[in-house]
Amino acid sequence: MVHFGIMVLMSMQALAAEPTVTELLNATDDYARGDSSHSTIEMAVKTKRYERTMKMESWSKGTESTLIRILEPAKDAGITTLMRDDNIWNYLPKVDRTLKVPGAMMGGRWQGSHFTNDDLVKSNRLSEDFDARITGKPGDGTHEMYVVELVPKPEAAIVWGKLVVTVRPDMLPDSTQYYDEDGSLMRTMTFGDIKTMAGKSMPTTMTLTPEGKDGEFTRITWVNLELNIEVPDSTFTVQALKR
Amino acid sequence: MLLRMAFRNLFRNKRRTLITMTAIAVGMALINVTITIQHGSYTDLINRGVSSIAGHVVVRSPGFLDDPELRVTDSAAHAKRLASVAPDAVVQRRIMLGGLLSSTSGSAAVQSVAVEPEISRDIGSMYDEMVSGDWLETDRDIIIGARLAETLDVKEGDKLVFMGQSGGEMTSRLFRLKGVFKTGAADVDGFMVVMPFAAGQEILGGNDLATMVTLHLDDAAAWPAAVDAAQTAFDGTDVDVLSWKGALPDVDAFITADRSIGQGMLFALFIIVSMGVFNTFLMSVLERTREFGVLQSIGMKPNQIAKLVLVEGALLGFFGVCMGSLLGVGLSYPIVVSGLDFSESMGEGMSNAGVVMSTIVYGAWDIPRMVVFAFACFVVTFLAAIWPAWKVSRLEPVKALRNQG
Amino acid sequence: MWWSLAWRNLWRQRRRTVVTCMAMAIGIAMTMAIICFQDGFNSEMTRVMVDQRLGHIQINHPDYPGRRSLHDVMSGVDARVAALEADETVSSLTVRLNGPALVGGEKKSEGAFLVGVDPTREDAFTHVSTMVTEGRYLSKEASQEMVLGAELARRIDVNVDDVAVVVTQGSDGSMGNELFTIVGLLSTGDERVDRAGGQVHLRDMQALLVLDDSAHEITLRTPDADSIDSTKASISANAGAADSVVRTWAEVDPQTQKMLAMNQSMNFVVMMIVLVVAGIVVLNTMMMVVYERTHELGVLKALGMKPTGVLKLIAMEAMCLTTVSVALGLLIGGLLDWYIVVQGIKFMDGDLTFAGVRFAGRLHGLVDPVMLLNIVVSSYVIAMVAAGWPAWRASRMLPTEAMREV
Repeated sequence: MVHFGIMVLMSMQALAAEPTVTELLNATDDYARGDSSHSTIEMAVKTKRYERTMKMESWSKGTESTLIRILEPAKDAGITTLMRDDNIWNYLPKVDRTLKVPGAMMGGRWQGSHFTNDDLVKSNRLSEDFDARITGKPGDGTHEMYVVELVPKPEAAIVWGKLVVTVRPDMLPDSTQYYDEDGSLMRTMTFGDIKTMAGKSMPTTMTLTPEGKDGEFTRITWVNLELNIEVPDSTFTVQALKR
Repeated sequence: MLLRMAFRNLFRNKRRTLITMTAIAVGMALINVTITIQHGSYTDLINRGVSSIAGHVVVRSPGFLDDPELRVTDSAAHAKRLASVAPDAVVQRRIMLGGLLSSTSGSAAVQSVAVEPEISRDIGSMYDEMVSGDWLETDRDIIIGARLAETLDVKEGDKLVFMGQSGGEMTSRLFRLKGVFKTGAADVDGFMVVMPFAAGQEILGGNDLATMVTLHLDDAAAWPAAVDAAQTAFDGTDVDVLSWKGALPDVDAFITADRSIGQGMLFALFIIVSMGVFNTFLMSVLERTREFGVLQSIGMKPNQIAKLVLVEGALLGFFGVCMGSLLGVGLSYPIVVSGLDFSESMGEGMSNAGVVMSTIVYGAWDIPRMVVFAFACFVVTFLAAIWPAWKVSRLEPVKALRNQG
Repeated sequence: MWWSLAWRNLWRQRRRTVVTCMAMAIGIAMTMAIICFQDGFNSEMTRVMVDQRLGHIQINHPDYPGRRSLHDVMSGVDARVAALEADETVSSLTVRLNGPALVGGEKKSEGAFLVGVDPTREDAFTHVSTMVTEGRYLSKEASQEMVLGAELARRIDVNVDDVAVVVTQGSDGSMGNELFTIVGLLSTGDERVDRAGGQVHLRDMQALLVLDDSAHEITLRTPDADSIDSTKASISANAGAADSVVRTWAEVDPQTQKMLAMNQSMNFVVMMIVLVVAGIVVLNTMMMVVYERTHELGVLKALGMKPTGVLKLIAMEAMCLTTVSVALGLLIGGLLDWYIVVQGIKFMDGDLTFAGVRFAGRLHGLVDPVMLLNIVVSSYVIAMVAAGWPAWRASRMLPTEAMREV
């Protein structure tokens, strides 16, 4: 965590200060969050059994609260998922019930995608549970991007053996690769389609590709994004789900 | 003197005596073997149930039956108190906790048992079923079923994250696979994991919680006294103190049901054997009517003759029972030592009321019961001699001499 | 002439004959009673497992056995059903679509095994409508109705006429969710249903799971339980079973099959034990018979009766003895059996759950005519064996020796 000191190399490219590990990781974690956010998202899922596209509206505040409401397809419209801290609740309008996802079901796929319920609530922990170090920089001869290698802390509740995060020179996230302890690549998250949104340049697609499963993927595309707007805390309550 | 006469009388008709004794012996032997097999399998079932999911004495939260998530606090204090009840016995604490186990390949809903590694190993449970790896040592070790290991595609040393829920809070904890067990029962091998007690408590977040605190006696038969003592010791506290029967009602029920079938058979054998003995005896007495007449006429009192007959009955019973006991022990010896292998008919493993049954059934000698039955057989034989003896005592010498008793 | 001679000989020693007959009769009666009780146990297990859950033959998607995944369904189910029902070797058929789901009342919810069925066919197959303890069974047409296992209903605190939420994982990844009206509660004896299961209409389940015209299981019964293997072959050729795997119930659940087989052999063991001991008693009696009539038999031989004649005579006496015993045994046993079947035996308070089947603490027995025949035949066999040796010895006696015996 203190490797940014290494980065102070008298490099000819380093006109600006070299990014710290924390900055690089935050680039990946928070590029679409800000202090709060409101967005419209499309999700495309392809598995060997089915293909699915969905349209959703999402709000977030801080790093621990997120609300997602499904807009399309019509069958699922109105289904709302609230994530707060480590908990997930689903509101189902057709039956007018709110169900908390029990621990045993956290391994279940969220809306049939490759993201598990667990993934959704854990997505913002890169800097907390890992020891990170920069293993590559653009222009160091081998790399065109910043490469950060993350190894889970000995006691962290992370199944992976290693994560490799690549960040573009312009500090936009490029990819995150997940390896098991034997060094096998298990899945890859790639960020692409850079456009201007919410007043800044950012990748508008995020694709999760499991390794070894031909052609399967889940792609999230930001259609709209507003950052740092007013989002009341009450949005992220179980009661508010029914709205 | 009567005794000698009785002996001689019995030996006079060797074949008949022998066959009658054989009837008694075979009947007794079969009773013995049945009791031995029953006792062995029941004891095994109880022991397995007791060691894996209960104890001879169980301390747990009231309301556990309706809500298995309820736990007791201050488990260490309870353990100490329970230990004071039977200083030579083993006390262990356990936590049952459902959750999600994840590897890099996927995740599965599991039921975990958190046990104190040192103590639990000797009590049996999963230690005996391990097929690879080692028993729990450090707080990060975890042991899972073979099927689960396959589903999650993990081998010893791999990371596993367990996420458990307690009181609405979800906690994740890292483990490394230490070993794999295989019981043969699919729902256990695909669903159960064993972790160290300390890890379980950590997941539950403090308060010294445990699902149950259990006492394991060396001498299983001493459980009633232990339960009583425990209930006294825990009087006034807010926990439930149960015997293994209360904690394992399904096991208890199964044994009761199975036993009643056995009783029916034993009852039948008893009656048949006693009828056979009665027959033989009566016959042997009646055919000696003339002889008894002679005895009477030379001065032997009817009572004495009756006694003679009774002594004969007693001897017959005694030797028959001895023979039967030896035969029974002999027949059941291989069953006690090497057991009956039921894996053909039971498949790999079967769980009954939550307890995995062994496919090899070992017999166990239930000495008290065997002694009681031996005694009963003896008494029955003796009783079979009473009516003939009575008849003999009513003999009139003259008629008897004419062989018309 | 021989028979009346044999018969009369028996009754010359009335008391002995009576006692011997009683011994054998009691043996037979007790065996009958024990087996009747055990058969009651067995038949309940068979009813729940084979008649209700497994059927005789099951047709599934080829990948379904083993993984039992949601996605391993057979499509075109309606057409398959039509093709199969046209087959003569199928006496009844039911279709099932399994959907593990979260079922919830107002306050509590739990995971449950829900099965989508065609109510008309399911009822004809298992008579499930007779197992409804409260309310009624599902309607013929799909109307968002549900029947729940009584214990499950109790745990999530719902009753007949309440509305429950059902949430499942659809086959397209979506979250299937619907409201169902609980029309009845079930108590089937199958633990999986009573404790944690329920049924809804097939079409409702197909909609929930987004699996149109599909099913996991097509379960059949054949008229003749002994011809299951041959029926399996002919069914496999049926259009309804195209691209599917056809299995007998023993292949679907070998453990249950093994358990039932083991219970059957236990019957046999009990019978042998009891009858062998009775046989020894008979042996004893026959030995006495031969012994005390040594003189008389000697006379008969001297008068010209051949050894085989003596043998035959003794054998016939044994037959007569056995016949009386068997008659008496069947009578007493019949009474015992009647009691066990009609009144049942209460061997414990509460219920016993074993191998997935719920048995009431009061078990009713079952009389199996084949088993009765077995018992009768075995009794004769054992009696003849027991009488064999004395009879042989009697036939070999030398007349002169015999007559010297007094």
